Order: sequence, then C-alpha cells, then structure tokens
Amino acid sequence: MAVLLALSAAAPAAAQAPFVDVAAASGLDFVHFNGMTGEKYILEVTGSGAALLDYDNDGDLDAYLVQGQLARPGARPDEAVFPFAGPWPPGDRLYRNDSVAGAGDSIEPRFVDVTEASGIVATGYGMGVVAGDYDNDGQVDLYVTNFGSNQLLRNRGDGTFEDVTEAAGADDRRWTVPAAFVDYDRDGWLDLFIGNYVDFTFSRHVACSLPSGAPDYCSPLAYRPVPDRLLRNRGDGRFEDVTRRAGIDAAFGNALGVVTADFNEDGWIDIYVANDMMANQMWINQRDGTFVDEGVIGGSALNEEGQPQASMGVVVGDVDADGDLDLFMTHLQGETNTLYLSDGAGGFTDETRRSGLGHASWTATAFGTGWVDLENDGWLDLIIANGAVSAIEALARAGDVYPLHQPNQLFRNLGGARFEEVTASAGELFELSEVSRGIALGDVDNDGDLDALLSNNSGPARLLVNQRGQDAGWLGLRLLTGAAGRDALGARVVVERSAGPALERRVQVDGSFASSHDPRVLAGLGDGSATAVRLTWPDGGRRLWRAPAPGRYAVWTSGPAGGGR
Amino acid sequence: MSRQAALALVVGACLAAPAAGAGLEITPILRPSLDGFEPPVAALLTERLERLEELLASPEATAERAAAELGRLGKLYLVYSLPEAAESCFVNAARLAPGEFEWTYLLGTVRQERRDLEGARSALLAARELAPVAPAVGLRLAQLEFELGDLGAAEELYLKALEAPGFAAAASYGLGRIAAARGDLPLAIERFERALADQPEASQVRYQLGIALRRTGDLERAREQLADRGSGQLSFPDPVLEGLGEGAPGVEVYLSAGRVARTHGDFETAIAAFRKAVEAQPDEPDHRAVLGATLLESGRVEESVAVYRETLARHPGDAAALYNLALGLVELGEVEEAKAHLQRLVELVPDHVDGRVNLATLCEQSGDLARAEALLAEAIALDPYQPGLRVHRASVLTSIGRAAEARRDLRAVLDEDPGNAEALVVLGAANEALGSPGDALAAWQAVLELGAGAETEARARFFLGRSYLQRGQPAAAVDHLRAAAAVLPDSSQLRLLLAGALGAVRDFDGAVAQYSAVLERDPADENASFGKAISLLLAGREAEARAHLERSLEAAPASLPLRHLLARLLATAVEPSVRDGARALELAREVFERAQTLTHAETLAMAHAELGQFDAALEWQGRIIELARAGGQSARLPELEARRTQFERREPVRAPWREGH
Repeated sequence: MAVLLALSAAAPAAAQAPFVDVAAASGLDFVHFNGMTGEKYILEVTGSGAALLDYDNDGDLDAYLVQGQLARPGARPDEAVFPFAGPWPPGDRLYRNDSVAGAGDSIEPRFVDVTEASGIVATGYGMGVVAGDYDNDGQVDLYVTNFGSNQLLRNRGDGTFEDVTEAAGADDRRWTVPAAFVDYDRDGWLDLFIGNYVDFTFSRHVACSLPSGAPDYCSPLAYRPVPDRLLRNRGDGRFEDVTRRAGIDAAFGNALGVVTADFNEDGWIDIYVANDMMANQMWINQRDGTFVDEGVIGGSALNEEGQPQASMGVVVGDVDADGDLDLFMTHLQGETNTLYLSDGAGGFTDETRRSGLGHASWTATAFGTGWVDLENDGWLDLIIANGAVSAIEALARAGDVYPLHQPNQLFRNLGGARFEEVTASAGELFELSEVSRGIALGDVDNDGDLDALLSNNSGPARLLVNQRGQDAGWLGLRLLTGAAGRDALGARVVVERSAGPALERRVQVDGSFASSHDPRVLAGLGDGSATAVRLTWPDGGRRLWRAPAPGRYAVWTSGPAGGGR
Repeated sequence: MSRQAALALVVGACLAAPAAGAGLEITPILRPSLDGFEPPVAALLTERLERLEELLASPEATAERAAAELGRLGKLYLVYSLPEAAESCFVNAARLAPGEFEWTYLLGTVRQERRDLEGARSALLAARELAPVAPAVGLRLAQLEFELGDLGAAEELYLKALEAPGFAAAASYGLGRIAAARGDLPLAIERFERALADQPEASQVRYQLGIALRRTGDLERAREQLADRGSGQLSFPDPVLEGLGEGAPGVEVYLSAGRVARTHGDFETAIAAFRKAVEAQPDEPDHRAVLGATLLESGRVEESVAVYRETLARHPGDAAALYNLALGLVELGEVEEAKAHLQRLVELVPDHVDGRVNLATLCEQSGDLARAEALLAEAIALDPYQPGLRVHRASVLTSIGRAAEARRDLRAVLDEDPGNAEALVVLGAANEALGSPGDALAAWQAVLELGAGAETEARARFFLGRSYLQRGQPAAAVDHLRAAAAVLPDSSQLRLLLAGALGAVRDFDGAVAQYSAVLERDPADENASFGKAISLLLAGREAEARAHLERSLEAAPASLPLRHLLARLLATAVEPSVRDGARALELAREVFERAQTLTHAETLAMAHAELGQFDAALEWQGRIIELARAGGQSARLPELEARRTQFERREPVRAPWREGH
C-alpha cells in the first residue's frame, strides 16, 4: 500500500535523514493482512501493533508483529481485497534477532522468522501485544490482544512459548486493543490491564457510507463501548478478575490506548486509558487495591475545550524536563493531537495550542506515537504514525482502492514543551503515505538511540533505525527486579547531568498504540555527562547511584545490594 | 459518515475562470461532487453554479454582479457543509467587491472553521476595515489571536467586545481563558462565572470554570462545576451567519438545525426539524431514529413509539428500532408487545445481550421465571464479563427453586469479587430459601459492613427486616425497614412490610403513615387500604377509619374484605357517631351471602346486637359456636361463648379488633 509522494529532486540525502528503514535488509519481511472483503468492517482498519522484546535474553531486541485475518466469518482467502502473500492461515510472527557485530558496541540487526519453531500459534484477528514477565522466571512473556479471545503466551526459556491463556485465567473474548502489564499492588507480580474497544460483532455491523453513497467505515460511536478489565496476578500462574473490586468498572469508554505510570507521584502506579471519541480515564491508585477515576477533575480526560477526542495512541514522558510525567495522545483528522502537561500531583493542563503540536495534526489521523530523543540532546522528540479510518475523499475519487493512507510525522523538541514539525526534512521515509498504526520503540542496534518498529495496516512493517542519536553521549540502563531478574516495569530513573535539567525516564513498555517497547532506559546526554542516577523501584524503594559509564548499557538489579549484574 | 466529516471535493474541477467580456479575474472555484446529495439539493446547487457560469461568460458581467452571485453560491455551499468550495467562492467575491463586508467576513469565518488561522485573521482584519463597529468581527478576531498565541491582542479585542450587547458572555469566556493561560486563576474564575451568569445554558463554560477551580485547590466547587458541564455552547449575535440555512432544502440542513436545537434543549424545534428530515427521506431509518430518540427524551413516548413503528413497517429487521420501540412500550405499560419486539430482536441479532437481558427482565416481571432464567443464561454465555448478569440470574434461580445452583454461582462471583454486595444480597436470599437463615442473615449483615451503595444496602435491609419480623423480632425489623424505606421510598413492598412491623410494635400511627404512602402511589392497593383501616382502628381513630373505608369502597366497591371491615366497624365502633347498625346489618348480610364464613357470621351477629335484635344475635351466635365446634376451632370456643353470654346480657359488642392486641 505504500505510495511515495512528491519524490522531488530536492529530497534530503539519506545520510541527513533521522531514520533509515532497514526492515527488508534485516530480514523483517512482515506484511500485515487486514482481511477486508468489501463490507467495511470497522475492525479491518483498527489494527495492529508490534513489540520489541528480548525474548531469548541474548542482549538484542527481537520483534513480534501482530497479524490480521479474514474479517468476515466464512470468507474464502480469494475473497480478500488484498490477498495474503504468505502460507495460510495468516498469524502473528516472531522474529529472532541474530544480530552481527557493528561499529563499537553496536550491532546490526538480522531477523529470522522463528514463529513455527517458537510454538506460537496466534491466528486470531490480532490487534496488539504487550510484553512482560508475568511469572517472574526471568523470561519475558507476551499478551496478545485480539478481536475475540486474547492469548497469554508463556516464554518457556528455551526459545518456545506455550499458550497458557485458559490456565492463567487471562482471556477476554471481547474486542481488546490495548493492554498493559502493571504491578499496581506492589506485590512483585505483574498484573494485567485489558482495554476493550466496542461491542462490534458481525451481526451488529452497521453500514456507513460516503456522501457519494459508496460504503465506508463507521465511527466507533455506531457501537457501544465495552468495559475494561483489571486482572490481578495471584503469583501462582493465575490471574483473578478484580475489575469491580478495584473500582475499574466505574467508568469506561472505547479504549484504544493505555499507559501506566505514577502520575501523581505518590509512589504507586496509576493507569491512564485513552478512549476513542469518549472521555479518557485517569485511574489514580488509592494504594489499597482500588482506583478512582480522576481524569475529568485532573484535566486529562477532555481537551482544553472540555471535549472528548478520538484518542488512539498515548505516550507518557517528561516533555518539558520539569521532573513529572506529561501525556501526549493522538487523534482523528479534524482534531488536534493533544499534549497534557503535568503539575506533578495528578493535575494536567492542555498545552497543545502553545506546543506547536496542535495545528500540524489537524489534517491527519494519528495512531502510534513515541518519544524519541532523535539527537540524544536530552529533549524528547516525537514520532507519529498516521493513517485514516474512513475514506479520504480525494484519494477515493482518484481510484485508490484503500484510500486511508497518510504520511507519518516527526516533531523536534525545541527545549521544553515547544515543538517544530520536521517531517518535511525527515527524508523519504516520511514522504511515504501508508496506513500506519503501531510504533514500538527500542534500541534495535544497541547504539544508544531509539529506533522504531512501525506496523502498517495492510502494508509492510518498517524498521526505522535512528541515524543521529549515536553521535551524542548517552546513558543506558536495564533495570531488573526479583530473583530471576524481571524487567522492573514502572521503575523511575532520574539522570542528573553536568549540564541541563535532570532527565526523568521510566522502565516502560506500554503506550503508543497496541504496541510494546524496549524496557531499557535511555537518556541522551548531549554534550554533557551524567553525574548521578536516582532510582525509584516499583516497590517504592529509592536509591541514589553514581552514574554508570556512558555509551554502554548497564544492568542493575533491585534489592539491598542493588549493584550491577 | 456525516457529510460534514467527508467534505467531498474534486480538486481541480473548476470553473473556467476569466470572463473575457468583462475582464474579470476569477481564481478557480471548486466544484464539489454532488453525488449522494438529495436531488432537490443537487438540483439547486447545479442551477446556481450554471447561473454563475453563464454570468461569468457573459460580456455584461460586472464585478458587483459576479461577486453577488459568487457570494450567494458560497453561502449555499456553507449551508451544505462544503466549506472548501464556499471559501473558493468567497475569495473571488471579496476580491471582486472589496467594499462588500459580507463576503470578506464570510471568507474569514469559513477559514476559521477550516483552521486556516492566518488566512482567517487576514480576512477578518479586512472585514474590520469595512465595518469597524461590527462586534462579531472583533470577537472572532479575538478568538483567532488567542489561538495564534497573541494573548495581549486577544485581550484587547475581547475587552472591546465585552461592551457590545449580546457579546458579554462570549467575551467574558475568552477573557477567562486568557487569564487561565496566564495563571491568573481568580480572574479566570470571575470571568467564567460572569459568562455563565450571562448565558447559564452555556454549560461548556463549566468545564473551564471547574478546571480553574481545581487549579486553585477548590476541589469541592470544581467537582460541582465539572459534574454540571455539558455541550451547551456560548452564542453571540452574528447577523451574517444567522438564518443562513433558512428556507434551504435538504436533509442535512434539517438534521443540523435539529441537532443544534436539541443541544439547547429546544425539543419542539428539534422535533420539527427531524420530522422534515423524515419527510424528505422517509426510507432512511437513521432520521426516524433521531426523531424517536428526541421524542422519547422530551417525554412524548407515544409519538416516539409511533415513529419506531413506522420504521419497522418500512424496515422490519431494524434492530435499533425494535429495541427502542420495546423501551418505549415498556414506559407505556405495553409489556407484552414490548416482549414480542425484544423476542424478534434476539432472533434477528442473536448476540444482542441487552435485548436478552431486557426481555428476561420483562419475563421475570410477568412471572415467566423459567424463560427469564434461560434468557439470562444465554446473555451470560454471550458476555461472561458482567457479574451483574450472573447475580441477576442467581436471583431468578432462587425464585424458581434452584437456590442451590444460585448459591454455587454466587459463591463463584464472590470468589472473584468478595466485595460484590449485590451478590451477597442474593446469596442471603438463596441461603434463606435453602433453610439456612443464619447464613442468610450473615450475608445481609456483610452487605452493611461493606459500605455498599445505598440501594444495595437498602435491599439487604429489606431482607433483614423481613427475616427479623418472621423471627418475632419486630423492633429490629423496624430499624432495618425504616432505613431501607428512606432510600427506596417508592417500594410498596417495603412499606407494607414496614407497616406490618410498626403494627407489631404497636406504633399504629406509624403504620397508618406507611399504608398511606403506599396508597398515594396506588389508591387501588387493597392490602394497603385494609391495613390502613385496621391500623386506624387500633389507633382508636374510628371516624377516620370509617371515612377511609367509605372512600376505599368507592374506588373498589367489590372488595369483600373492605366491605366486611366497614360492616364490623359500623356495628361495633366505640364512638356512637361512627356506628350505624342498620347499614352494618345490610353490609353484613351482603358479605355473608357472598362468602359464608365464621367471621362474616360473627359480624352479622354483632350487627343484630347493635340494632338491639339480641334474639337474632343469639341465634346467629349459637350457630357460630356449633360451626366452630364442627370445624375444629375449639380454641375459639371460650371467646365465642363469652360473646353469647354478652348477648344474653343484651350488651352489644364494642371494638372487637382490640381483642388480642
């Protein structure tokens, strides 16, 4: 579905572009199949996501890509508008990174499709994925969200996975898009938040059309929202549904995004849910196993006008380097993407208008997104994956068979909460017009800057390798907790620098859209150096450390000793 | 998809611009695709476009005439949500007639709508040159300056607009937002409050006000404002835009007008507009759906039902119409028909969970508990994630004698969520049904300890009260039932139980109040009428009891218990003014003829005694004693013998209801 727009002679040279796509060169040959057969089912345009994770603990990032299916029950493969190229049936794919040595400590990614060898059979209509070590065995597991039953895939540690969904009590048969592993009760076990979208079923399919009468995809408001769920990890391989007990059933919407973080800085992880065309929820952890939605009162549920927006992707980060966690979320064409700046106590202010992010997003429908410090100067830049959800009339009239594609966007942080769009100078990758959805961020080549795995609906996945960040100083940390060494999701890192404000970073895999990121922490140091690192572990324990050596990843573990590994 | 969301344009399909004869320079005018527009609208737009083309091709075209024609076409495009095409018209109209305020102003507004902020500012600045005192221009410029980040310029413009009639609310709101952006929260709050004072219906302001209050730390007031926030928009006089769509044909115009009116709570206008949309496109179910919903919202249930019936006549399988029709019918009390529609719905849409649940509820209410249970089981299979459905089904299972099954399911629900108070309430009922009253009490007590929602707690108290009453502990029952009634004041079942408990603790006046409350809701409730009469008698309020019984019999003349009680009262009241022996005898005879019971015979005897006909009274009393003896009611014999002795002493009976109390 790729359409190269405006290939002009004046396009910047590849070396100047911030990213280069190495998907094909590295063996990442995934192509998403949306299974559309002409009826315009809403699920066809929704997925899907991707994950970057080190499932084999060999120090480089592997990739998991979520696949679609034939949408209509009973449809034949040859009825698909865009045929599936691979062996039938389509399914999610796991790519192992058999990287080779690159310059310095860096590596060059080389991906091998190991799906069959891994034992993973994920042939549902896929939406998203999140990675986390739910059984604390030091092997990262996967939770795959689908239209229909979800799947919990347990990593056996020998390169294979087993589907333990039923045994673990982790299923949800409704339409789930986002999910997050989060130790909300600080018992050392990762719990699971499941974000559900709408109650679409094929028998409830609503036919919508363009003014010309041609069929088109419906808004989610044609359906009803489905409640989200919170599953508590009992520590014995099973989850229990605590949705009601935890108060999570008190509010819900059409969930498409979720991030977990300690938004009010009380030491307990909160949960933020981004809903499509409905008010978002900010579930503030009450520290007793329950949550209260403080989205509206806290100013993060509705935009500056007091209106709900079509929230799709959501990311959290300290955009203005003031030591607290801000929120950014992506929206529908005709709305702005929205930046909420935190006051550090659970209160937010919509600063979109002043940020430079609003007007530039008016003409695109955005999904996946992520903070990427492009130049490792310490300021978080922004990448946004775009792709419409209903036909763009001009494309439709031009005869485009899938008229949803739009170019992605890149914004540079000018130092604080002010951005400028740099898409036009970001090279050929940002001239492509595709139906992009998920973005998973991670340092795929271990060179100290963030790369991006981009999933496209009905199109090829792209692996955007950062070409700029490695030239500046950086500090990398992998934070582990527990006896077997599980990534300490939710741990907070504050990097004190010799010059410039301290950098607030987190061990965070959730966020973006239906995707899962590299759990390692990266902090760009620019021309300066790191002087100290303040750590807050998910259980509330705090440590102050001398900064590790820059330019390489250090591995730290929690506990009294707390030293390197 | 709404037409608004899909601004259909064919870029490049433009009018040939220069009109050679007149030498007019025309930039390309976008020609929107009219596919999908209603025929009258498409015809109107085509006709106007052709007229414009003809004019522009004419050597006689003047700049003024061309501008006027372009402006008119642009306005039509605006009406039909084609802002890009409208803009291309206004650009030309404004250039051809640079002294004409209307076109320049419309160019600014359409650019503002399209988020071309700089372009809009440029046009509106030009418009202000043409009409320096038009406050709408100043207000829109202020909005733009704010959007563009020039707070000082925006403030100056808003302050000017503040003084113009009709602009104070919008200007205050703008000034409030500037103050909030500057961090001057007290001033922001003051401005927002002023905006609300001027336009209380503009509930959108409450969001800004709430957030400003929150930022000052006044959480209580912030929560109040945020709870009352809504979509009510601020308005200001804008003569150029007002009435733009008046008289224009087209469903979109009607629907848009209807939506705006509905947002402002003007249901009459909204309904009229939606009706026009239905008339224009009678086969479009969505128009009827919005009309039906608006009628329902405005309380016009019958009309709403009629609309959905019409939808179904045209589209028999329209699931939304089936569902909404059923809801309307339930409101009208047409339960059987509602059930039929819901049944059809679940046949057509097998995974319609709400359809099944509502049908189950109606079946339950009409006593078809087996069907209700089956429907709920199906709903649970479709959506196993709603514990409420499982609790509902357990409640029905308990009612149909499958309490053991219910208890098992409820325990599973409580395993997952020990704090599920609804499940505990029903578990108590299941335990009671299974003969475990101690476990039942424990479950209901647990609800109170949980601090559950008020209604759930009230239901637990109802069961507790009933249980205590059955155990002969009316005082404890009264406490629970009183607390429950405070939360569920409309529950007749609860009030009747409370009245009984109050009677049991000899608070007859209290019981009378409870029965009266039930009768207020349903004057035909015979149990409440009877209970009230008895309570009045026990309270010694005989005259009131007689008046109450007379009134009740007017409402329910065939009621045997009420006639009998009146007969006995007339025969035995302590107050002479209440007694009426002749009428008592007449009523007692009538009652006895209808049902020859011992009690009715006793009243007959009492009536004779009241009239001084002691021989007749004795004769009846003798037969009563024989009947009691033959009927195995020997326990009553001493009392009946005592009454015979009383008659032998030629003494009438007085207030026999006090015996045993």
